[in-house]
Amino acid sequence: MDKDAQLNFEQLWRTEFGNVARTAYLLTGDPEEAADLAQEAFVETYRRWEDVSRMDRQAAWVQRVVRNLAVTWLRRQRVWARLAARLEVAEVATLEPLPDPELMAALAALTPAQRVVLVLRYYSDQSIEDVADALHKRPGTVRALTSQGLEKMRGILPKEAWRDER
Amino acid sequence: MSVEDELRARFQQAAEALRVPKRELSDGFQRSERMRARKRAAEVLSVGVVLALFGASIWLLLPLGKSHDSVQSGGAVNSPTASVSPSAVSSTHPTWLVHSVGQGLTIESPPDWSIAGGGGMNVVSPEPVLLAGTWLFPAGGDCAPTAALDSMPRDGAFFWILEYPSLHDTQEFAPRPEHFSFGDLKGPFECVGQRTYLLLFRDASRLFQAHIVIGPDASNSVRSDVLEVLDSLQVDKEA
Repeated sequence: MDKDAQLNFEQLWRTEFGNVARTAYLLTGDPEEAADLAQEAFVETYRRWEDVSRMDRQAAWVQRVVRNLAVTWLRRQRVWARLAARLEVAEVATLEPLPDPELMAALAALTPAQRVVLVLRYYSDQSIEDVADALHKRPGTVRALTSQGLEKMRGILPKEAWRDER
Repeated sequence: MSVEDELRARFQQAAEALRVPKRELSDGFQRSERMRARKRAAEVLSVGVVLALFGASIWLLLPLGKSHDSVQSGGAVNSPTASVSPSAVSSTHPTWLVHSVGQGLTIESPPDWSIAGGGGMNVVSPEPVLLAGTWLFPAGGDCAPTAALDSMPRDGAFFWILEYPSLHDTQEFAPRPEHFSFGDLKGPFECVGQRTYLLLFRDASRLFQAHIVIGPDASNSVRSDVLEVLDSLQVDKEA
């Protein structure tokens, strides 16, 4: 890798690491795991930097990598009750309350696919078509996952949080 | 507020409120290298187990009374090199890793390089002490790392360093320069079977010979990396 490419990569790391870790946090619910996954996503990006550096939206590429890593991580967490317990442990370990633990606990109750779809739709602000393209699913599947995810969230989060629009 | 709007707002707030744990990019490379090394070791182990089982089954199937020598003297298999896991992070290049290869030698390289000690060659003197390549090269060779050279990608680069006993004529070995350069291609050498850039140098009262081979499609960046990796070599006085 030449010096310019090296500098460009380090610049991307400095400006985007936090954003990538935040996406990973919403997907995993674990700040430490999120930071590890973000770091791993950048290592993967570095290995493909010759191609990625030619892309217009390099940050979007890293976001894509971290999302895939997070989905793999989520799928490994077979027992969702353990994930909720992990959230509590992380809360103690970091000695500071996690942002919106209620939201994170509700997200932990979703399937990985539902969780990813909700985060991409409502945090990354992607359209149904973009999410379908990113996840290699049909738009109808993404609509169904969104609807199922929102339904679960309605059932878990306090009802006064939003107007029931069903 | 709709469910969707509420989620948008809470996602945004939760993400913004998160104090992202600090990470160093170089630690990520180290972790990744360790995982790759473990994966490689597992692959080597599984290949070994398969070969052992295969060998055992052949041995069992051989007619009684027939010598087993023919099985044991089968063709040699080039094993993956025992590449050295990085021990630290470069102080000059944030993404480079530091490898201690033993014999009082330390060298830095980009994270996608492989570095190995000199084992795996059937040569005693001058003694191979370090091998470095831009890809995961296999070990093996008689008086040169021919297994690695045979597998070198066209856009890759490889070098190996031999150490001469200190009793050797030191006049041939100039003091190590501040920065290495390729010089002219020398050879072809009998052991290597091709021409190499040959460097003879003296450092910390120790005598070294480096052979460098650059693939025909290697970029200027790879060539420059080779010299920077060589420049990073640290030699302790006592091996």
